[in-house]
Amino acid sequence: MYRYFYYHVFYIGMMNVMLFVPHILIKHRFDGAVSGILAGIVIGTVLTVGTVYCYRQFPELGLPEILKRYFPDWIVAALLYLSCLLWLAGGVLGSYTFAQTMGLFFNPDMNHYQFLLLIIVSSVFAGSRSTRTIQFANEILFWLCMPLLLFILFKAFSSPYLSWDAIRIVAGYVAGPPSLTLLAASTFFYTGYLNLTLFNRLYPAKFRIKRLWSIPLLGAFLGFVSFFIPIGLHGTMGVEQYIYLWSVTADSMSLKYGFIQRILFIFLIMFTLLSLMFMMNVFHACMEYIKASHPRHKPQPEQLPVPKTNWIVCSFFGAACFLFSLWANEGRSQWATELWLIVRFLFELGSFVLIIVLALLEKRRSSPSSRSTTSSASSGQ
Amino acid sequence: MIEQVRSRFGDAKDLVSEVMDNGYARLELCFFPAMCDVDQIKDAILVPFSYRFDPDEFRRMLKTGLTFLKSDEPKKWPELLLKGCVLLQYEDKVYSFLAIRKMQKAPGDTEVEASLQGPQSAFTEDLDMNMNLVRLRYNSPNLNAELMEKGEISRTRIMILFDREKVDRTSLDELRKRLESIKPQLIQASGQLAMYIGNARFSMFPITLQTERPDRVAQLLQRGKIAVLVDGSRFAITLPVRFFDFMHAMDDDYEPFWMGRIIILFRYLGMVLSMTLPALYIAACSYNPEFFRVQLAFSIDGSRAAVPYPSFVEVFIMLFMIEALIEASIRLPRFVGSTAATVGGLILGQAAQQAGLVSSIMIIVTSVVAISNFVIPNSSFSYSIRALKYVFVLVATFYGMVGIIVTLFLIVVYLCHLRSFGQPYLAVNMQKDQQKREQSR
Amino acid sequence: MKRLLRILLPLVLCLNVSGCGMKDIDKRFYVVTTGVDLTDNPEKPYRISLRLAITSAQVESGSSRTEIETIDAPSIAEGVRHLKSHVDKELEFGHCRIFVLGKSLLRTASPETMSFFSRRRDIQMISVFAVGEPDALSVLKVSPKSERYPGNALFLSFGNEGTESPYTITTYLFDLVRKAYERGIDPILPVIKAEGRTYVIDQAVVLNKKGTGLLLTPKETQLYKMTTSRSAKAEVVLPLDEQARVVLTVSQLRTKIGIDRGTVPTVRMKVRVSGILEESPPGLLERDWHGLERRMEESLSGQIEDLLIKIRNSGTDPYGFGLKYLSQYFGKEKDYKYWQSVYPEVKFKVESDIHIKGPGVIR
Repeated sequence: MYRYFYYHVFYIGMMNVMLFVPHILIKHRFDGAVSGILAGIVIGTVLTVGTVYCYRQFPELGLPEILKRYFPDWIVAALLYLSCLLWLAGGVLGSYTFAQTMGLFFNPDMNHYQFLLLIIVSSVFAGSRSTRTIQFANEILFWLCMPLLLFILFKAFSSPYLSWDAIRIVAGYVAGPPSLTLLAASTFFYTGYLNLTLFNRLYPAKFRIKRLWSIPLLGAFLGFVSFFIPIGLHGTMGVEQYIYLWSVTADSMSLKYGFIQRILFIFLIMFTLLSLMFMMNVFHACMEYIKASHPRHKPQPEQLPVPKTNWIVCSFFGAACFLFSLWANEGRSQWATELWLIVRFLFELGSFVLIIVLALLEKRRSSPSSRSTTSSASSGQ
Repeated sequence: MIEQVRSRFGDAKDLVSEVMDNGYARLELCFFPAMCDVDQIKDAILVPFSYRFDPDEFRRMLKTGLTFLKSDEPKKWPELLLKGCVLLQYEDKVYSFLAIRKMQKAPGDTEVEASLQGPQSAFTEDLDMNMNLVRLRYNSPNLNAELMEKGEISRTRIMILFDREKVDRTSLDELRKRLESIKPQLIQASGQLAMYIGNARFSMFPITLQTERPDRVAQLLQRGKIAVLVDGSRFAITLPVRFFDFMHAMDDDYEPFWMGRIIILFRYLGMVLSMTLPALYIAACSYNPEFFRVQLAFSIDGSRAAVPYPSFVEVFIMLFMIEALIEASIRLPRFVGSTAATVGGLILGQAAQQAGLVSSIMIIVTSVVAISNFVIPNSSFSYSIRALKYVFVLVATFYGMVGIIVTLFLIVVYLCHLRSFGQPYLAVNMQKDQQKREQSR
Repeated sequence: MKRLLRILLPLVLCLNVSGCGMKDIDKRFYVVTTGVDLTDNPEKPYRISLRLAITSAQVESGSSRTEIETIDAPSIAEGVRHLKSHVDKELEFGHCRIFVLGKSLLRTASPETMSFFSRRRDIQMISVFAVGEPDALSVLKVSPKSERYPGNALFLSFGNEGTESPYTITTYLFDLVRKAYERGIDPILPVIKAEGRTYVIDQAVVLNKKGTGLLLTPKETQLYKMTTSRSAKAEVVLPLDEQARVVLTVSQLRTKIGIDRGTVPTVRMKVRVSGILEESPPGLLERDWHGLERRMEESLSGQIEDLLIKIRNSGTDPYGFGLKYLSQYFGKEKDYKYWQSVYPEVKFKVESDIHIKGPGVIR
């Protein structure tokens, strides 16, 4: 069961490539990126592990239900709209970059709104499914992506052109203190835990997320790979000129045997799946938040057939993606993504404090009763 | 009695109604000779009534005999007659005698789901014979059977089978609810019933599995599934099913482990190829020629040089040809079928390519699609895959490679979205989760 | 019905906006090799030549047919755009994996010239760059007899895909770009010579950041390749006095480079070679196995050291000693400045360790 939690951590961690995280890190590779990643490991792990422990106090409850216990309806609604907006912004930014990348590398002559339409239609369809469906789909898609990812990593590490010297040189710039942007970027690798706010509904009582020690390992691995491999292949200086950094990096490896010669295409196939997965989850989470903001809403993880509201709400999200793409261009979307990463980081810190407080309240409330509460939420560890 | 029955059936000429008199007593007799076993009637009624008539014994026989049932309600008579019963009136009392003419005396041979080394016997079109086959293989007192009748006109007998201890209750309730809610006129085949209870007429995938193999039914029963047998159909419906069940052939369980796994792997590969290959061809030709390596791209380019229309037209032509060929070879009588295959093969093979109507690579694509589609063990599932191929082709015509990947994603989500009688259709490791959940409770 | 509509609606939408982007494979002209030369005309300094593939259904040796288009233009992008009006189909660079730069171009080219190549999305980052001698156009004009697919002969020559020649150095686009910008390493490009109906690729040219460079002889090229890659296909030759030669085919090879700090850094290179004798006077090995190894080691070390000094004196650094130096001591700006100032005096110390496994199948 707990594996579902890790799928979320995994695909959101992987999405960093589509949200310019490596780009930001590499821009500051000589002033604080490395220390930023190291600090990100600590912060991300604390946030993740702390949140997981806090949610143990609330079995089978999502964030909306927890908030409803303690706050009046209008505050709950406001908070939910806020987090919905935040997530949606991530989805919108991701969809834009994704459509751009696909358009650039797959069909450069095609109108990019047309691509966006395809992506949005499929995300609306996927996002409007029930929570349990999303959960199953995550697992299957994860297993579809995994071999491709492993193959690309294998190719990258075995490439004779990967310059360990360049990696060492950049790793030497460990001393500089990281800026807020860098911290925001490097904690993104861990953001997957936030899906607990919704998918906690599916986890039964007395359920434990095991192997939490793997969180820092996974995050550090993702962070180092997506930061250092481009440096290894494009050098310490040449690396900063590329916008679609990882696409170009994947293109720098070749397949001697097989139908396909450019690893780029394997990379694009994998990221098409990952991005759609991300969009699906974002749309779904936002939809559930919006629905839960209604005071008398009852959460239903399994709902068949799909209610009309799901379609309507998701269509609005799709429209938001479209509107953004009308305004955005390469530079603006990068600027917006950077801003979003920072806002997201601050929001995460805020919601972390909130959930700790709520968990403490819940513990005090339930401690007179005979319920066994073994975890210590106060320490946050 | 006779008058009543005759008037109900509008003087049907195939209804035999006789009044017999052996000198001591009178017996009124009504039956459809076409539906009854005449020998049985002779042995059970005519012989005791004529040669060896003994009023006491005859009365006793009517009262105690297993096959004689007292039926006093005139309303039920037509129904009984239509089922193949004989109605007899003796001493002002009406009895029915079950003398259904049985067509099948032995289990059939597997035709659709052939197996190399597994059992060769298959279900027949007779429900009682089928019950016998299932009971033989699933010899357990836990096997529950519920009889039902469905169809306003056909009044088909339906048997619901499940293992009382292993069955999933929610699926069973769902099935009962759906069976009650449907009001079909005729039920002629189990596939029809499956459609009715399937609930989603526009569903792209079957959510019940039809099988003609008793061993498969027994295996599924043992895994807690429900089987529905329909009288007059040689296929059993089993539910709830999962995606993986459709790709499983019974031979996999009878062959050595690793061989079975490898063959299952090939089957999945065949399924994916059969779905995506025409679409990949379009994408490679019209949108992303740089996707494949140089040598392959030049081969495709060279072979397409003579073809005057765009790739998707070519694909549609060839796919139509192959579908027509498959359809023709199923429907045609067996003697003409081979002719169709030969002619079709000739046209598809050489002539079309030499005439410059299609490229030689497309011919290979078409045959790979056709062959790998037959690898799928379940026919209704292979129909689904056949249909899905066109979705891929359509999307690839507009979007090329990206379209194919996005469609793949959508199909995965759709499969996860499907539920077969409350059970998830595509989900891995469900059983382990269920156990863990129960442990933690 | 409603459901059907729901499915059909997006499809209809797609139909409306569709129409562009689709171009059949037979309506595209594949560029297999691109050549860029420098002209004397200052208005239009670049001469762009494209070798286009004419594919056919029959694939036999020597059946490959190509067409060459040439144009003079003020920039590469404009030239390519203009060339489209010379041909009947859309030009496609997706399968162009060989780019030949004229020798004349190297003298003036800067990294910015290359930006056309790395900017275009359809040019693979794994396409090979080479220098054409005497110029790029004449390299393009060569059509080898054995070629089956158009342009295949050059594809196979590089990157160990076909031949695994110890003289052929492969430089991919991403590698070239990286080395053009990187501190402490310089790009090296193979030289393709057009000779009758075949190509000869046995030399390489080392560039420095300004473009001018050092041409290596075939022997030096082989030594360079031996010491930079783990490519096992190489040979070590020891000329003996009486006209006989000992030739060792390398089966295993490993090079280690270390740099000692000091007022003048010393580069220490360790080459470990093991292999089988392919040619030697009979009985020589049995007489003095160890001594032969020693003599070969000395000869190899000497050759490598000569090469390193020659490279150092030309002011280039294809090995990336500077990069190595920075990485070994986690160097920053200041260290790089220091390295640059002392590089002309850097000392080299080459140690080679040759291990002869045996004399082959005969004694």
